[in-house]
Amino acid sequence: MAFGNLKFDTLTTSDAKNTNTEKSLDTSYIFNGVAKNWLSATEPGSVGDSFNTSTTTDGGSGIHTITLTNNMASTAHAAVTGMQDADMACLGESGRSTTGYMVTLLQRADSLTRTDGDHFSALFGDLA
Amino acid sequence: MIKTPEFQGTHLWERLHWAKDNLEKVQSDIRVVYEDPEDMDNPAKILVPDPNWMACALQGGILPPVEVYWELAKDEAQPGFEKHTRGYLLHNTKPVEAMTEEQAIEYLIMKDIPQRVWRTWDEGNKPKMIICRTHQLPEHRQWRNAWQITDDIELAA
Repeated sequence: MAFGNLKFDTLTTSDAKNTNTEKSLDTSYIFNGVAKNWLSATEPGSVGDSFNTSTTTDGGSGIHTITLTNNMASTAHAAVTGMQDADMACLGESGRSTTGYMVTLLQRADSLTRTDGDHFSALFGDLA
Repeated sequence: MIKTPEFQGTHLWERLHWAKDNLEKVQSDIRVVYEDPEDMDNPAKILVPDPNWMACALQGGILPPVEVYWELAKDEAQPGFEKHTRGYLLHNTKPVEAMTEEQAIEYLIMKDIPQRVWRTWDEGNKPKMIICRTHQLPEHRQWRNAWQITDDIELAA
């Protein structure tokens, strides 16, 4: 069975179970708040699954650049990164771009060194 | 094969949602190894196609022409750039037809690798860029930060 489109601008709840006070939410709040890109990679130089990614570039041990299919509107976006176990992932450089972002993966020992590993990222902000 | 809806004028991000729901991922075996002349201190980079993007490319009717990205890159290179004002190019330009895997890789090279690399890839003492299969890359990543395109590489005709 096929479903049609549901178009609306506002979500409203009676909140009967809690406050019994009607609450409304503009659906643009939802769109603005969702991740515009995400990526899960379990091997260096690979993509397990993703959304809004055209390529990843393996730039060396622990360095990956994610390039978007739909650019961001500005460089004022927020990337969230993660890595398996106790290792760390973070944004790789200060040069920001609307086309994507670089992630660097770090191994924690006496000092931080770049390393390969499972990594995950998501990007929030406004689309072009 | 499922038919692509008429997408010209539809936000690219919405098209990607449709593709995610309707297309099977395509894991390409092709890689592009390149060295950036402005970044010679770092090892060779390896471009990896995204499987969801590849599905869109092979399907056709979803992705904008690569020239659209060049236009946006020009805007972003302007001094004082703050925000894209021509993002509509991504959404309103007629989408490209279905590509072969090889054509899709050419598109990605022109989209995601610096132009200074691919426009002059075969000038100089050795190629700056090589298209290969995954089995042609080293089997392990030991000394990954020393990988370079070899000086005596033999190019296919």
